[in-house]
Amino acid sequence: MFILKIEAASKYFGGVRAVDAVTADIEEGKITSIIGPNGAGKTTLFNLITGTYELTSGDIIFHDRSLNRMHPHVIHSLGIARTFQNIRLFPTMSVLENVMIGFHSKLKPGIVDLFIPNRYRRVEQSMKERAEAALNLLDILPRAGLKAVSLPYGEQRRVEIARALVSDPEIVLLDEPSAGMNVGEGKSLMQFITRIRDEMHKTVIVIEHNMRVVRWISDRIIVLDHGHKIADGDPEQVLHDPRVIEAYLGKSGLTNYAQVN
Amino acid sequence: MRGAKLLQYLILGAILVVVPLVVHSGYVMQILIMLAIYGILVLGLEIILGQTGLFSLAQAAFYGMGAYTSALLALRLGWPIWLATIGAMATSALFGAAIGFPVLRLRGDYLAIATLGFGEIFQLITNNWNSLTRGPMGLPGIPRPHVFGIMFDRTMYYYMIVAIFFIALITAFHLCRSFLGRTFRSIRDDEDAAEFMGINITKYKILSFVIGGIFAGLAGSLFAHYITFISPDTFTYTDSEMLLAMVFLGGAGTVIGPVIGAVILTLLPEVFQFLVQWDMFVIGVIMVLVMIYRPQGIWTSDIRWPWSRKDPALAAQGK
Repeated sequence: MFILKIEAASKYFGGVRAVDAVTADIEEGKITSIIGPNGAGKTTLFNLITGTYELTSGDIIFHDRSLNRMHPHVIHSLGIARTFQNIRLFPTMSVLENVMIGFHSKLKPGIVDLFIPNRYRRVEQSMKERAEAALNLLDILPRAGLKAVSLPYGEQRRVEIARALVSDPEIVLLDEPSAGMNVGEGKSLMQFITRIRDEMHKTVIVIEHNMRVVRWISDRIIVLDHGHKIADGDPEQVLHDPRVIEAYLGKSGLTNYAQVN
Repeated sequence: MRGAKLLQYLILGAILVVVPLVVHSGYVMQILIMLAIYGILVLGLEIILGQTGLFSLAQAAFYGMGAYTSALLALRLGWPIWLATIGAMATSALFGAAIGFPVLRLRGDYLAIATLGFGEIFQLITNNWNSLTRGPMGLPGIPRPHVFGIMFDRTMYYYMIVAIFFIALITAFHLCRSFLGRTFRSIRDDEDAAEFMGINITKYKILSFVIGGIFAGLAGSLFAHYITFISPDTFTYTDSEMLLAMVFLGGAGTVIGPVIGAVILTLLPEVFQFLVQWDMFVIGVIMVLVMIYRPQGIWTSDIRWPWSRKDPALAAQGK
């Protein structure tokens, strides 16, 4: 069952073809990794899915609905949430408030709710409860009252993931979630990502550079290079594809790799 | 802690109630009334600038719009004053939304320039639409409110305006503490991230301008019916600038801060009157010094009093 269909999606910035006719179907309830060298167009693809950019051509279909030309906040309310490559938490707000923002679009409180005490209390309470549940899931509930930016890097990443999960999206896009984490933190994060799939039954699309991690968590890997898709399939097959190795290591690297193996 | 806070407010309230009974100076009363009006006005700007982070130089124009609307409704159409005040708030809110639609795609400096232009347009219209506003001659004879046939004197107006100011203050507190304030702050902190988290930023930016406009319209109406004479030169770009200075001096992002800023910048020119034309120079130096040594403003949300025992950051960690 495919939940997201990327159909010949292209994004050109002037003469630069950041994403060029990429076609891929994302399976529901699976972890799909997108890998590729720097500048391959991975984050641009994420930005296309979440509505930052308009597609130059092609289409992205989510549950039979085209996401092209939709505003990011509409796409979020349809059930696609994301994190960012460089952490983007709201610096003046506490951890709890940061996560509560993520639930705002689900509840859609109106102005009227401000002035009816009962409804106001109910809105605030349910936002708070949901946010605390999400923080608990990521083991950072004790940090709820602190300023988000005062946390160490690894914990800030967790807050971002909690903020993405709190709205109960169908698809979670994680942009380099283990960047800047030490080995231990990275490992527990990877375990958590498999839990998102197995226990919460969500579809995860993850951009990741750490190949050991990618091999371990992915159900499927898509490889991009210079905006083109060069490989797509299950991890073992893709990571041994000569074209993928060439893209990462260059031609001479390919011969070295062949000799080692 | 709650008890102590309540006590502070009760003391402040008691002082404000007693002042007109003890002080019989029209001059002092005049300043206090203007303080309350500026207080309401900066609360509106605090929503727009402090909470949502929209750099607006049009607040004096919204203020003037409220004053003119209220005055004209009362003078030309003979509306009762409370209804004219509501009309003023609605008009300023409407123009807040109207300025929002074309302008809110702009960010930072560009937004400032666009709102500046809006303020100038308001100036030009009030100066030149002679048949409606009498241009630079201004509108005299705006009625004062009255109850049971008794005209409001300065003391009665003082009590009314202080009460309205506190209602505005509590409303602003409530707004900023609620989900709405949180949404505004998320836009201020990181507009793009807020939109990715499902916030319809255009809607909330317009809402911010509308709420700021309502406060400004209210302040304008109260001003018009107090002074009873308005002319375009009360609502100039310089006044917008002054309001901006009040918010930044007091502490943008807090509710109390801008009010403190308003108090300081309204009182300082009075205190330094003996310096004649040098008063603005001294105030400028004070502004610069505050911005160097306390760039976040005088009041911050995590301010520590000598008598408060716990550091709020530590208290949050449960230490």
